[in-house]
Amino acid sequence: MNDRRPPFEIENGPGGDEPLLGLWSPHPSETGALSFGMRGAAGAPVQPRPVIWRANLAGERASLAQLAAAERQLAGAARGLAAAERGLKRLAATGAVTAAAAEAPAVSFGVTTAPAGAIGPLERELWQALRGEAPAGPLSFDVGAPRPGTEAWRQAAERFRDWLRRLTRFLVHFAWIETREQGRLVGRTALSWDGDCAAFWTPSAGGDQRRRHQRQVSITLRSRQTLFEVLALTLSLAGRVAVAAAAPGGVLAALPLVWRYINRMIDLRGRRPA
Amino acid sequence: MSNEEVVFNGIHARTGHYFTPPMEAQALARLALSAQDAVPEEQKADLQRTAERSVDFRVDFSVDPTRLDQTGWGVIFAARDPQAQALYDALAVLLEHRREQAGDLYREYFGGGGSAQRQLGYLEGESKIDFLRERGANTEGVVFPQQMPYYLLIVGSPELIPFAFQYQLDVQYAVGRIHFDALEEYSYYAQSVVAAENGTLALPRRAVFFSVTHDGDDRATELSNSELVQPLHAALGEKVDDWALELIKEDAAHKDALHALVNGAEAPGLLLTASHGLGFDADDPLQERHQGALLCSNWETFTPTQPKSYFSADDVSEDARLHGLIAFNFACFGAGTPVKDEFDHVPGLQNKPQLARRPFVSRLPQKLLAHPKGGALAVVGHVNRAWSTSFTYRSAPQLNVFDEAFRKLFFQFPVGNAIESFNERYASSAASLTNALAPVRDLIKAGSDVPAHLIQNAGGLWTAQNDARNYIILGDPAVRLMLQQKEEAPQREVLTLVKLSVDERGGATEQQRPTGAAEGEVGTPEPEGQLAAGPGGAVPLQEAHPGAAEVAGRDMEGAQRATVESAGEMAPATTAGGAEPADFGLFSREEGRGELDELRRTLADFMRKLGEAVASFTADVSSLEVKTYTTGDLEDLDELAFDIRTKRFSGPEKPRLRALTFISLDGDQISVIPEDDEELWRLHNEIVAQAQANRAALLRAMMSAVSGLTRIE
Repeated sequence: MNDRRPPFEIENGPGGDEPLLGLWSPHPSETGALSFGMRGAAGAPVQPRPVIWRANLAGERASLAQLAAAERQLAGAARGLAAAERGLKRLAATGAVTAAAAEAPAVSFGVTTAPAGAIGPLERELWQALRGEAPAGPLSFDVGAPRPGTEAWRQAAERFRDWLRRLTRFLVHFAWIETREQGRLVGRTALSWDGDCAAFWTPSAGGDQRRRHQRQVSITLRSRQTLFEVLALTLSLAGRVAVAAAAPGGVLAALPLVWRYINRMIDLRGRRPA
Repeated sequence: MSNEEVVFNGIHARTGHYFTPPMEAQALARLALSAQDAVPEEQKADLQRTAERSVDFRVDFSVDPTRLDQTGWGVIFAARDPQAQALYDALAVLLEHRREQAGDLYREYFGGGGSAQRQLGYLEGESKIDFLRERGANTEGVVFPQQMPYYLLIVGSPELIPFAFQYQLDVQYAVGRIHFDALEEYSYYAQSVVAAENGTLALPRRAVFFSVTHDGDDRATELSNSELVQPLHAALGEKVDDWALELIKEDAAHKDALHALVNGAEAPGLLLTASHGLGFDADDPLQERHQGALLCSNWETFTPTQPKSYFSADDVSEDARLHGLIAFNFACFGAGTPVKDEFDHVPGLQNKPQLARRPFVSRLPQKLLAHPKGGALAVVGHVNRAWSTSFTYRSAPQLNVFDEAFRKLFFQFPVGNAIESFNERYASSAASLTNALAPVRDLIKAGSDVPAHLIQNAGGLWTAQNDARNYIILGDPAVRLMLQQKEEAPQREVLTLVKLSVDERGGATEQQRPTGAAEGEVGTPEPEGQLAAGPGGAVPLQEAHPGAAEVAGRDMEGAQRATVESAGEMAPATTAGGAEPADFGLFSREEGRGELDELRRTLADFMRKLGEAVASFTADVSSLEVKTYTTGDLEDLDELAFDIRTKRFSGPEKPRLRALTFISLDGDQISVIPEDDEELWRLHNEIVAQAQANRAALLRAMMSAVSGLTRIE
């Protein structure tokens, strides 16, 4: 291990180029030297590799700062998820936008400045994308709404599929949660899918280190939970939004768009202070 | 016999005279007898029972009428309406909203039914009693929402579900109706209701009473002004102190004033108008467009009417800020027009021309309800003529019905419950009429003279009965005024409701749109006397959904299900009622289709694994095991391998178990406590708490994901 590793990384997990939830960087090599899976005896089937959630902390006070930053990031993700749910439900329920929101300039972070009950630029963009409409004005966040049938939609769909495939790993692989400080392993916790848990400590780990590992376990559990909440929100509301928008591609084509919207909302809120 | 004349509300638009000539009381009594004889006995008995019951017990006493999860909510489509599926789809957001609110007490009467939640739709010719009996509900008495919801929304034309059925069902239940000529209007209305209840609508506590009178001898509006609006305004003013009650009366009740009220910066939350409603002959090309329009004070009395003196649907501006309004229009034909007139029963008048070629809902309330910037939530109005017996009977004021209805609206009762007093009055006057007519009938049979007071009584009761009966709600009966709360600023945003663009799916609509009505010109009035295929330039429903007949009656669980099924079958979604698939490029190219196929396969694979995981989860959920180990040194830990499912280790040294907690589903907990490490034990307990919370949260998310996936697949 070296200190240039990102403070939080995930190995064998949902990959992609960008940090998961803005926090977990994909491990550069999924076939690296570390292996915590059950070593198969000769001739025995190789056990599936666990998903490893690893914290590479700097030690002492710096570790505390890193953990606090991660907790803030997750709190922001939770806010983003809640905001996305509200936005989707608003679209699904009313399909309506206030004139104020509709006419508001599409400025960055307008979503947080729009009046209560209004929809922001991200929702408007999603709505246009669902309906296959070309964006009416300048877009602030990305290359544009990935309307069904466009290259941008294909890219969104590909990323959604990739995310889904990798998320499948959580369903079939158990997880290791480990904390390292200055490259040295402090503690490990094995976590089964259904919640069984086994924590391993070195006798030399002090009380503070144990508590820091415990916070890392908590961060991991919240992260995993958030990912499944993203999935649940995507699947539960895409249909309603697609119907409300009379989306020409139906719910299936709406899924990547809704998933993308949720992630952008999480990203947006995660970057902002509470 | 008395020769006293009875005067009716309603002005013939072309002649400027009363639509129904004044009638002698004696003739009215004969009419009452004749009409009453035509009423089925079981209906009379039903009305009698209702009249004997306290209105407070209309719905089961344990039910709070303001809570849909207790009252239930249902929607009634005509079983054989070829456009039912299209209507259903257009209303999807409202239906989904009500489904969430009513929960297990949500019902759909649609097509052939097929499930507890979806039952048989309205069958042609069914009476209220047939309808209830067929669907397992009591045909009389208190409403049990488990049998049938208290709030019932009829969707569709009065040709398919007659006004008479609505009147009778309304005696027992709280019933409303929506019928529009264009599909997109259904969608606008649905969006308006949901936006009002989910959004930030906070209307000012302001009600306007708009009372028209006319110069000359117009007794009808004189009465409505002096005996209804003014005393009601005064009475309510004494009872409610947190409302601004504005009275616009007599000469001030000019069309310009009504125009300003409806189209101005801020329409009131509640609007009562009392005026003549316009009537047209059945063959008049303006009938369906202007029938029931509100005649204002600036009409030159008893001259042919001009648009400048009446307020019609054409006068509702595109920019009107109506959202959330509940309007009460006391006017002839304010809500609708039947084909036949009650006066057909009068001997010698059987050949009187029909009122209309087909029964229809008046255009003005349609326009108010389906406004594309957010519409009214409900309009209460009259089918056929309105009578002064609504508020005065034998020179005695009868304001209690209005008084209670308005106060309930002020207190945010759902409109269907608020106007129960009118239904109660219908039942009460019908029961009284039966009793009052008995001696009249006997005397006539015996060839004896009938005393004037009996005549007057019977005639008055008959008109009172019809008058009370013919008030209907246009709109969802469960809507209510969404008011500002104390210390809250009023808020009424202008909505931009999503236009249901049928042309996106069928591609044929563009050609079918009436000439000169470009897209977005909803509500653009046509030149007077010239009837377009659809009101206001909107695409007529029949044309917009030529394929609707093929899907009507299909056992589907709703628009969402329809869309989902389509997606699952890799066919384009039929988002609004069976139109041909849209070509958005997504499905027109093989690679587009392939991408959706691939996405579907990925989802299917994920669903399979998620299903296995959930099954495993639920199988293992009966216990939770948390163990804490220590290892010899750092290297041992680094080299450790452990499979949590088999609990097998491998490594240089077997770790030492220091703490163990086993929790079973029934709450039993076994803990093995380390003797010498308090800190470890504390951390272990934190892990246990975390594991428990995480399992619950994860299970919730998984179940939600499974539910979502099930809808897709």
